[in-house]
Amino acid sequence: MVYKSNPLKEIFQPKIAFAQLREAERLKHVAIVAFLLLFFHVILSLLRGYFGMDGEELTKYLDQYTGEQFAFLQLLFALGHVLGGICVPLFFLFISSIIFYLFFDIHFLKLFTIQLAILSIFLLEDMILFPFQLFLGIKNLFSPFSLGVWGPYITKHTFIWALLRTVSVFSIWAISIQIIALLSLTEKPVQRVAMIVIAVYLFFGIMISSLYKLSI
Amino acid sequence: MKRWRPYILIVLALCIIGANFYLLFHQHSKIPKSVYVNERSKPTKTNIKETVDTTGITAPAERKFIYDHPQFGTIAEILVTPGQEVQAGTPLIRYANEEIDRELQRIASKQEQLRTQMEQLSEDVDYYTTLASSVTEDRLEKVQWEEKAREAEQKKALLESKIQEYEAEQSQLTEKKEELVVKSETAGWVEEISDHPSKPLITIASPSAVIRGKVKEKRFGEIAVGQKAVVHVPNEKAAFTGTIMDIGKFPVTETSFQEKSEYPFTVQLNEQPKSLPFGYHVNITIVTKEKNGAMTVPAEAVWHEKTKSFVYVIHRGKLEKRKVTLGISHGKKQEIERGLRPNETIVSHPTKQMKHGMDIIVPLEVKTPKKETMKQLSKWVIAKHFLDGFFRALY
Repeated sequence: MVYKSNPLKEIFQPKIAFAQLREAERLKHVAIVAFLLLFFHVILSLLRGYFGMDGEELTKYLDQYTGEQFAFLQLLFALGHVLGGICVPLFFLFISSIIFYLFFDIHFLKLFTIQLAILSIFLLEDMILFPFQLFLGIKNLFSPFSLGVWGPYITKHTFIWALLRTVSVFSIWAISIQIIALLSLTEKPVQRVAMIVIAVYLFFGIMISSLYKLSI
Repeated sequence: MKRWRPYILIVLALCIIGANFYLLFHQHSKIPKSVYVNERSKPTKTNIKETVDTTGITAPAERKFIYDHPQFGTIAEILVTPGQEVQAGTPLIRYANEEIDRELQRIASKQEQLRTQMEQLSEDVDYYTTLASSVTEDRLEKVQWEEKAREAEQKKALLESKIQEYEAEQSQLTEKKEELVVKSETAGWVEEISDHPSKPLITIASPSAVIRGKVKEKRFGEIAVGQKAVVHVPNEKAAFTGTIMDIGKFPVTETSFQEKSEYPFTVQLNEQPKSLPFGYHVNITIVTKEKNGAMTVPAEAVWHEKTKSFVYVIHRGKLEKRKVTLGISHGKKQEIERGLRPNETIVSHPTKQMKHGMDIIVPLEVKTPKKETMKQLSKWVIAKHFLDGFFRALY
């Protein structure tokens, strides 16, 4: 049986989609979907770079540099952002697939297909957040869909803020889909699968928060 | 229960999102927010002036009125016509006085009479002198003839002095008659000739023009005598400069409770406009205030709150809402008297969302960087901002 990769079906009707994936002997459209997701990520990064989003740190140097120098630094920032827009999703796709490949006895390409669905949830989050950032001045760290908003009310540690930011409606959705997918494709008990998934995402969360803390 | 689970989860998620929005946007929110500044500017040193724009008409600078003087007699003739150019000394009116005329006539006839007598006497003198010379010395008649010639000579001298007296009288009367011709004291144009008893007989408008303008009562307080004014002729490039000479205390038209009053003022021109008739409509720009080298910002950059004015200064990447003292404004420029330094960057178009202390994001300025710009920055700075952009992609 041939399974055509379709992230939308996988995130909205996961049980049906992943049951089909389990039975699949051949996978189709994986590369196209991966390419499309990356393309949207790059477009979004370009837009964010163009509007100078998340460039608050850079604006602090506005008085220090001449107009030309500042424009050049903005361009560097935007280029970095676009490169990040390609590398970060790729990194997530491969690293998470490899980690789950180590834990579960599932075909790598099937795991990669699952991770494409997960990536599309995060892409959806970024797309929904974009207008909020542009028009309401909400920073990514304080996304209203995450617990990041609670950070400044609880503590002064920016690491905790960043960690809370990783807990969002979308990340919970992603984790749920991940658990459903892995359960469909293995015989392992629910608790074990859930533990592994949560541990992996916690690892990612801590890694991102540490990098964030380092970058400011 | 299982069927309801997704709905419960959705409601829960919506509750959390709602609470988050409250935490983000309530009045004392602790969440730092960013604001999008799409245009920024720096104050510039410019010459700025505040003006009042209004309209006016060209009018003669002065009017000379010539009235009728009945004591001079009746008017014999008006020697000018409306619109005629006159110089100082041009006769305007001639009065008639019959008594003087009669007297002059009498003197003239008297003079004529005396001259005839004098001619007769001259002939007599010649006759007697010839007679006396025709006889010899010793004859008695010679003495008699000579005596008669002398007598005639004396009479002639008497008549001569009388003629001179009449001449003096005549010139006196002629002078008197000349006084009855009224002459123009100034140069100009005859504006009007009227026989109406309440009006002057002749009105002479001076050749130099002034501008008579009117100003609305709202702006009356702004204008003052001595202020510079620029007069523009509609549809023409030419402009004339002048100064306000006087401002009227009474409105142009009758006062009314319904309508707002307009007050007259006069502009004296520095240079006389050629080929511009009187009564021509012009536009007037009065310079009420003027400052050279004033620190100005775009008028849109000033944020007004009740009676206070603010500008949003970008200071170390954050918004600083700063109170400023405004100076004069003209068009799209606004002078800042106090509260801003020349090198500071300000937000060009402040919005309601902007608050003190907010972080700022600025859009990318798309232009090809120059090699010198790249060389001016250290590799560390270049790498830092590139990596900063890269890691921001994590979220």
